[in-house]
Amino acid sequence: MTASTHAPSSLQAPGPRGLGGGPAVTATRPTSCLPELVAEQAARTPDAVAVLADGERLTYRELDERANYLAGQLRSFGARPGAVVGVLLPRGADLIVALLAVGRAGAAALPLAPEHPRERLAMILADADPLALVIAPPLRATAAPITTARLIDPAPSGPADADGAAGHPPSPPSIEHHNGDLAYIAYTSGSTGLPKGVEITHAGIRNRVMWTVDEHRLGPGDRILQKTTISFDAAIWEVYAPLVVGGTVVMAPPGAQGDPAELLRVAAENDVTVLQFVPSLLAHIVEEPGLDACTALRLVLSAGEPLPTAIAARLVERTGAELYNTYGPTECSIDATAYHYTGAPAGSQVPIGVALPNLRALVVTDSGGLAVEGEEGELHLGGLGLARGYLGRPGLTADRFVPDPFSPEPGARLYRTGDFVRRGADDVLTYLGRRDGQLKVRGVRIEAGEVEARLRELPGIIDAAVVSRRDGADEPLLTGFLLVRAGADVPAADEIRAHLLAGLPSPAVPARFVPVDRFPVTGTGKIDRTALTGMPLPALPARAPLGQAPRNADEELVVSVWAEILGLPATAFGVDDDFFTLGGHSLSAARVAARLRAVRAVELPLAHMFEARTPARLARALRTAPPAGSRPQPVDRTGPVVLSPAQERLWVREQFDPGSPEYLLPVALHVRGPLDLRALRRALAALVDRHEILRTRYLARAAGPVQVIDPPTAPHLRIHDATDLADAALALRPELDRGFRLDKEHPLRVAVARIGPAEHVLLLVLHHIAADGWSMDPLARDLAALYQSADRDPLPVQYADYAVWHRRQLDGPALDADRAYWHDALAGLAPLRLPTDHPRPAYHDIRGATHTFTLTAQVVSPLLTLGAARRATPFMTLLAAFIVLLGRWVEQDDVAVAVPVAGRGPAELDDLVGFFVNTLVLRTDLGPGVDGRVPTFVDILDRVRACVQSGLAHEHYPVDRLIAELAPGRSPSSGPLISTYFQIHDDERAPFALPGLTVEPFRLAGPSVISELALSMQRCPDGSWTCDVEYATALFEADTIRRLADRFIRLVAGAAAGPDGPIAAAGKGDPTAIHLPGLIGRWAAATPEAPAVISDAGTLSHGELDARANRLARHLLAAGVGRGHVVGVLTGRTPDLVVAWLAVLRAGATYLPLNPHDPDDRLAELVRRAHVGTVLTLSEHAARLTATGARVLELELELDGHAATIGAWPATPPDIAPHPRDLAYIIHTSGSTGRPKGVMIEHHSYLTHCQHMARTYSLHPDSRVAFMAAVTFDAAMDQIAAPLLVGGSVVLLDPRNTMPADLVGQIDEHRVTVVDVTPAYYRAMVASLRPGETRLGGLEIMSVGGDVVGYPDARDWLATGLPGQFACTYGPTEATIACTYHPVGREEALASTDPGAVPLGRALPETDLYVLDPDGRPVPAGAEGELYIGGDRVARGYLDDPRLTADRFRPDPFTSRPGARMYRTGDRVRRRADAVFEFLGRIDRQVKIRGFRIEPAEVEAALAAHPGTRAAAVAVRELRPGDPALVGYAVPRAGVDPATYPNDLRTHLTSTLPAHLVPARLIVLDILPLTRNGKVDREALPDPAAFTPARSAADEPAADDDPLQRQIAAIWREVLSLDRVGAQDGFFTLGGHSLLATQVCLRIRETFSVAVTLRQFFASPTVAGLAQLVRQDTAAAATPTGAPVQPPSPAHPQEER
Amino acid sequence: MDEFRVVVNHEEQFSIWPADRPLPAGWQAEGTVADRETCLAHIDQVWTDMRPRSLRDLSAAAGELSTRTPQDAAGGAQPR
Repeated sequence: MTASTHAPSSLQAPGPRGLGGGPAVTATRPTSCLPELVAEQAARTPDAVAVLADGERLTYRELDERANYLAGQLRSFGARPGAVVGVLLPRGADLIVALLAVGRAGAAALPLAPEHPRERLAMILADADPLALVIAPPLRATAAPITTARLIDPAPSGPADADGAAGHPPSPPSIEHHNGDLAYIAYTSGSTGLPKGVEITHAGIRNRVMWTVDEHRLGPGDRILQKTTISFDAAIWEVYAPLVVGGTVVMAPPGAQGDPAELLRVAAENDVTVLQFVPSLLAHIVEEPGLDACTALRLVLSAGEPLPTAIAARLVERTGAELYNTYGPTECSIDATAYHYTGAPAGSQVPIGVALPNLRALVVTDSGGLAVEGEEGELHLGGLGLARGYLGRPGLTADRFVPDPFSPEPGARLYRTGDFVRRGADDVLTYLGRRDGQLKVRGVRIEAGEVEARLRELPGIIDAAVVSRRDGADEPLLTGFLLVRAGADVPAADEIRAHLLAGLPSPAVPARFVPVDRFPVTGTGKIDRTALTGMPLPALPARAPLGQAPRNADEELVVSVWAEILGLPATAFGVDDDFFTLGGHSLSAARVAARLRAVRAVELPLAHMFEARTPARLARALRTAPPAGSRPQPVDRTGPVVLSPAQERLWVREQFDPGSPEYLLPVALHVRGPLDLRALRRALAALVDRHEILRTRYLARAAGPVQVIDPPTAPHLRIHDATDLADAALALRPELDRGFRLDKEHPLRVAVARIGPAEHVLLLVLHHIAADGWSMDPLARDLAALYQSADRDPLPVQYADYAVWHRRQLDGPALDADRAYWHDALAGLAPLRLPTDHPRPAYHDIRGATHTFTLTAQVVSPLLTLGAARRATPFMTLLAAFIVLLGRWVEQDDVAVAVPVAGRGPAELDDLVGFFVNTLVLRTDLGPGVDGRVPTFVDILDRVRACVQSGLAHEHYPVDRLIAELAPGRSPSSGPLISTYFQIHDDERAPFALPGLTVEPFRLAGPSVISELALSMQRCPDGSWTCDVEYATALFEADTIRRLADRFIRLVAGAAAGPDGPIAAAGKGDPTAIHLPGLIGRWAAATPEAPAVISDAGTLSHGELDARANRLARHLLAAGVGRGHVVGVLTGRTPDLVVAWLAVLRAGATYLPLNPHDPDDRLAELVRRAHVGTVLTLSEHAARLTATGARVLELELELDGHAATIGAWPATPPDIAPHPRDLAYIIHTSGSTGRPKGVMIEHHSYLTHCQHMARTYSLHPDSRVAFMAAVTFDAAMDQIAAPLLVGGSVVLLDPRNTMPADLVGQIDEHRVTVVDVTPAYYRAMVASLRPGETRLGGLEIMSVGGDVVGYPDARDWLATGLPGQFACTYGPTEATIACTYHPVGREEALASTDPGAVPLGRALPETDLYVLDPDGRPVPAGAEGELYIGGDRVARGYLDDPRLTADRFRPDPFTSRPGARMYRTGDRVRRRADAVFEFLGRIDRQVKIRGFRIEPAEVEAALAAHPGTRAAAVAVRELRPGDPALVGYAVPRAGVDPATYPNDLRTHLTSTLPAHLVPARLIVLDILPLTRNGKVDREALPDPAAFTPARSAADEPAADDDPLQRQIAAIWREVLSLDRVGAQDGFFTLGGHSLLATQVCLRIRETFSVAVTLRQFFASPTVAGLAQLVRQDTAAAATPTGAPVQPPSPAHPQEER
Repeated sequence: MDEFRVVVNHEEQFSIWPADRPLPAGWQAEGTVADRETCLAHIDQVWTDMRPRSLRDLSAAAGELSTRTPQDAAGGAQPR
């Protein structure tokens, strides 16, 4: 039998919900209430386990009997329907029994949380006035003074208990009660300052519980973790849902609710199947390693806060569990709506879904109507789940529960949630925010008003406002602003907190209090909370730390962990500071506990964090905490003692070369002052006495080496005499050249070089078998104390004890899990083969050197901040940077770096000198993630963080053993498994100090290196980091290491600036090559012979292109061009352009393309506006630039003319790495203000786009991409760069000077694989294709973009039968070239019979596209809106135009990247349900003509700029069908000669505007038509067809006497749709353009069998001129059709387009 | 007349945002609340360096680095 049934047919009914009428879906619920349903279940499965609590389990029978027993007791005290019974119990089996018992007794349960403040409990108890309180005995003392209720013990004195059994038999189960009776009362925050009790009925909660049961098919196999604090209503379904189906409630331990690791441990151990979280906790859960262990988990419910999609996706990815996002106020029985997250695109936040069965969710707009799809409004809830009201508050109840005007059911009510939602498609609701001051912090509902009321109670506080701000890690941070009475003292934050904590739950206590003079107010005079939320806060006042600075290692540890997790400097803490006072909360507390557990390997329950809230107390707790394992004990020393495993392996290696200096640890100290040698000798003797390890020898025995601890003897102190410091170094040097005979010598020797009576160098040399880096701390402390004969506490254990203990540990099962972890983690690890300068010697050469460099605070701080935001420690963050550096250097995605860890474990080992250090091999994959995307630095950071965390959890497994197991025969010191070390000295080492003396460390010699390369870093007090790279001099040159260090600096800076950029294409290649010019350069090394630039003028290989670009780049640098400079390139479409483009980028400068076909004035304007200092050009154009004032470098001249020629420079790339945010190029587009707008594109955008484009087009090294776009058009930028980026080639083609048929021939001849072209040229090319054409068979992609593409275009392509893919791209210059792509399939093209436009397509990767309404709110799928583009591709802005930039580039509120911007395209689009975007039109006047973006206003401004013009207007008209053109209308000033005006005006336009902006027709009017409100009525502008073209004075009618001219004129009239043309009329003056010119040429070819090339045509574009050409040609015998391509001619055509 | 707020992000890039709407993450109110034109005119005055702040800081921090690079590039490789 199932617990309930519902009518399936009604589930499908969409109607009522759509209309907002009746319930969304109705479902039948059982007639029994929940307590009785549990009884029915108990009868069915009495022996099944109902409750599992820590160490306790209840079967259904036991639960049932105990509940009945207690219910009987309660009834005897008067419990019945209408009465309230409180339950105040810690989480455990008793709690379940009590809740059930209250229900069985028919009363309403009042669940109370023991952790809540007493004052709050008192308030609630007074308000609810329960007749009894089931209470845990230890809490009685707390409750007794604050309630009159009878206190009842929940103790299990069931039927077995003879006393109680008599009066209260275990049955009958329940008193008779009704659906409408109260099941429980849940208190929530109230805006008046008093919590309010919400009365929930049995019908309401049953509906919620049975929804879960049905929807998720809960059954006996399900185990649900009860972890929500019981006073929060969401806890109730966690209790009842499993119990009505025969499943199990698993009780999380008390206090565990905020501890992600602990919750997952409990969930994993108990095979929990269902979990519920608030998103802020879920955010941590999805990153917890322990999640993997929850193998039974099948369902997760998220509730209480908006659920970010990223977290949802991560959960589903990691667990595969089903995920539901539920929403509801307490007033509606926990949940009112739900959304099943399936991974479908859902914006940045998962919707809250649709109403649960038997509930209604109505969106009421401001005007009181129901919202239609896409509209927003306040959510109102109705139906079965509605609370009865607020206990004892009829007024408030009436205010929030209002009559339902939309319901057919009389008297129905609605609850006004105060939540703002949008009703989307299929009535899916999206949560938008609160209407009032209610806040949510970590899932807890907080009424700002309640907190504010409390704050106003404080003396001196006039008013208060509480808002939720975001902290540095983007977590909500409750902040209280206080208006302080003038002259009054602001109460101390701690006092305020104490006051609030007395009456509020701790999440409601602001983390920070900010006194203000006055509040910012809105127009209506209310406090402007938005302003408070956004306003920058003064830096936290330098608060005085409470108590002393940390006094010991434990306190230091606690403070350093706090500092890291709270994001405050360690110096901010004193040992008496309270964690929660400083902004700590339960989640951060859990992290502190986890860190301390991991570091100290102790058992430290989270609860300790709440009890021991100061470093002093927590450090004490840490010391007394039981170790995770056992502890070392003193062992019997009478017999031989074993070595620790690490010592044993070191000893074995030592036997290969006994006495080798390889494992020496020297400490050299420069001591100034009167060194007392006698005291030193005494101290050394005491030191050796204290540390057995310093007087231990190692003897070989048949069963293995043993250690012999000798009685203490003072070590010999050798004294050398020296003249100065250098001489001292020389004298002491021999001490380092020999090792120790471990069987005969003790592993410590000491020498002193005496420079004078007050200057010495003290040298201690230890063998690694007896010490490690962490041993220097106790060594320094002991030496200092013993030098002045201070007493030291005796050591409880010695190293020998540790050796025995550790060996036992390793042999036991404790480390099995660690072994399994490491074997798994390092399986198949490829050795990191560092590219050494010299071959590896056969024997390990220990000589090393150190390169020291500094990372400045400015460079490193942003990265550490980024790391902190990703919850990575500085160690993790810097390690991630180092790993990326290595991966690129080694060209390997699989990078393992060794990291030393102290390896000491139990606290008593801290004071020992000895060899404890262990090494973790941390392995990180730099390869693409599961989605195939090249990882970003942030991705790597996340990977490294996870790797470090899990590595630390298994830190005790000895690396020597691991290597022996994984790679037998490999020596760990030189083995390739560990070639590289990384270390951070983040804790200040105790310096060596001797009383009365100045002691400084002294570097006696280069380090002896154990690894090939080691980076160790130490933070300096000023925030900078000192970095030491130790390297083996046998392998590396100093210069190589210096360059590596420089790259590390750049990488750290670059990663912080572009954390979301890909770390490198495929993670390979030169470390500097994370920018486009560098990545292209890799192909010069990889495939130098492969073609890079192909043109009629010849081919440049990748090697040649690279060399030429490098030389030119060096030439530019030598000429003073530098980073941030703009360099113009004016070459026309020649290979020089590609060389110059690459050279400019290589030099770190910004590329500005210039078009030789633009008028001089235009060139000058662009050069001036872009602050171009230098222009690269060809000599033919040089003269045109003289007026610009820019320095002109003529490429040919520079090549061979001067002394310092380009050719003399080295062909290697200059050592310049553009920063990801440096500008790559500036492209000008038409601007509405009348001036062109320079769009600034940064390197990261450029690179990312080209990489995505290369992937989208499937480019490969054999790809050949046609460069056909106008050189100043941004499409040129990826047509050049994308193919070069993948090692392919760019083919220079000129569609404007080539007949379409010839263009096809060239495409074929050069074996072009990808063509990207505007529709106009595409159409011309397709029109020239003959049926059955095979020439373009090699074309893989025919991509058309830049203007509207129609389905007929796609069908035309299909009709050719060519195999290439037809596709469309779309994108504005401001969002880096293209942002959508749409491959048109055959079926799609054929299916659409209409002539409609092909859609824009789907978003390219890493491109966020939003469709927004005029208010900037997203519209639902299918609705029309303006397209906004976000993501990496958003431009920096408009050159020198902050105003326009700020207007067009707006904050992106939808992204997860704080501070990101989005670009307003001005395009009206629609997003279809399949995520394909359709173009609908422009929002503004901007038009596109033949692919060019044109602002008519810019042209109007140019018309008006002519001195003879009084008024002007521009409109777009189709002069010929399907060929829109600009038509200019001008009104001349009085007195202007009407005969010359039109011609003057045209001359003016052609000399100032690029050709595509010059109107095809100019019409002179006497007056412009105006609309009623005085604006130009563009609709009323006359139709140009009615006018003859403007004529020059030289015009004459087409000469009738010349039949040839007459024929040509006829062709012109037809092509140009004109009535008349003159013999001397310029073709382009008449509105012709290059495509029309090709038509004229074609017609001439057909009519006269004469091939006139476009170049010839451009040279004499008149009827007369053409007639002349035809005559000459005919005379010289006709050229056959299909004329050969003309060689490039120096004469440039007057019109390019 | 719709009211806007002048807002600025961590890169010190300016924009405008409806005054009645909560600020998107990572943006702070600059202080000006007015109609769109006034806000934009204000931005025109105050946004004097359009480079992202991270880039500016880097240039300032690595001042010696960036000024050094051209010479470095040429260093030892001076032609002739």
